[in-house]
Amino acid sequence: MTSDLLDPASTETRIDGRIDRRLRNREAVLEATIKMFSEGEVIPALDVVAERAAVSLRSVYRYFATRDELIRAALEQWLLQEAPHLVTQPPIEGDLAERIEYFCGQRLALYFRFAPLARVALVLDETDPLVRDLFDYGRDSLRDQFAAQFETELGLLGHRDWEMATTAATLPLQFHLFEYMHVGCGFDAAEMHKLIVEQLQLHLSAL
Amino acid sequence: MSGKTEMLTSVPNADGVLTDQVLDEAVTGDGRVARRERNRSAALDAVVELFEAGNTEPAIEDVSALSGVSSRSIYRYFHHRDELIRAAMWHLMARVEPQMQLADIGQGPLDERIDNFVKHRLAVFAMLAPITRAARRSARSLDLSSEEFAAFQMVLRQQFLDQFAPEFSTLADRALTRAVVAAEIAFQFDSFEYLHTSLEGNMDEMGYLLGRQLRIHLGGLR
Repeated sequence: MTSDLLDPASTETRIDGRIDRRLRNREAVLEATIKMFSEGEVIPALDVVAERAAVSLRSVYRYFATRDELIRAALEQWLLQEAPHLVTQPPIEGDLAERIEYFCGQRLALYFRFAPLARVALVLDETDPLVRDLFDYGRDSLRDQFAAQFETELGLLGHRDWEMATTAATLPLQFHLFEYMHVGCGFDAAEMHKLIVEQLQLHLSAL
Repeated sequence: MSGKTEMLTSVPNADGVLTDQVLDEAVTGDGRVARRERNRSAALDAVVELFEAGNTEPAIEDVSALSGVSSRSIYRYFHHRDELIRAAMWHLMARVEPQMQLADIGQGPLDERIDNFVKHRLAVFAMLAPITRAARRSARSLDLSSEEFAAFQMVLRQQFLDQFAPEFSTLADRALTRAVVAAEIAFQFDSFEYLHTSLEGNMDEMGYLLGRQLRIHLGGLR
């Protein structure tokens, strides 16, 4: 009856230690996956994840039943870590050209920060609520920020014209077009900046 | 072909038993090829039809029921669902190819060419949107940067360059690339989707904005 095994205190310690280790390992797997995401990996190989997290491949499968489950959990955690950077900046004062420059700079910075994350999200099912929320949020906040920054130009428009003008002007700032310019056409940040500034100038000065 | 068929008939499967497939081939020989093509095509038509009807996740059983081709045959032709959906996409593209032609390409005044181009692209978008949407949603392995898809996009891009050749002829290299990118921004599939969603599917407004985008860029190039 004095055996360690039956000593309640000892058993508790042991279980706690195991849960601790388990949580620690799970965390290590998630962090390794996020690290690989940020290095440009979209669908990380699980054996590499295991190696980088210093756990066995079997452990990875014990924590995450499928690769999708791991990708989703890591994406969610990554999103939480990055969330503070998603908050859009308040509009600035200035003439149209200054405001366009500033706005485009903001959008590009956001793109380069969030592109790896968005690419991972696009690998998951588009109907996944997490993915849908992320893209809906991105689209809505772009429209809101745009409306606030260019209120002077947009303010006098009727509802339908406002919709049309906002839609036309925010189109070149969509994620897929940044991808098209950067990945598809090989434009660097400076070239992209020049191009979208031109686009906004054309759209906004025509109002 | 017949040599291959003969060889197959004499090779039993791993269990040492002749499978139905092997027997099929022995009995029908070259007729089998025609039937296989017919069945394959019927299955793909059914997938396209299901997508167009808004069924974004058609089960093999649905495809089988609509096409009259057995589930087993469908699996034999396509191995798994993603492959079936991908094949259906190419099937539809081949089917709409004749309508991809743009009449009087590069002819007439700029305004007319812009209007014709926008109208044509909206029609192509309407034809391909249901299946593209559905395929993206259900076939994760669908590689939109694959060679076949890239070839399809090349056709669309070339058409754009030909239609506005007079405007582009004055530009070279980087300046040309920049102008093309700027004007083409509005003609990506995702852009159509964005406009379609933002403008609540109003095709007239979509057409107006697309035309305006082209006028802004092509008019300014002269």
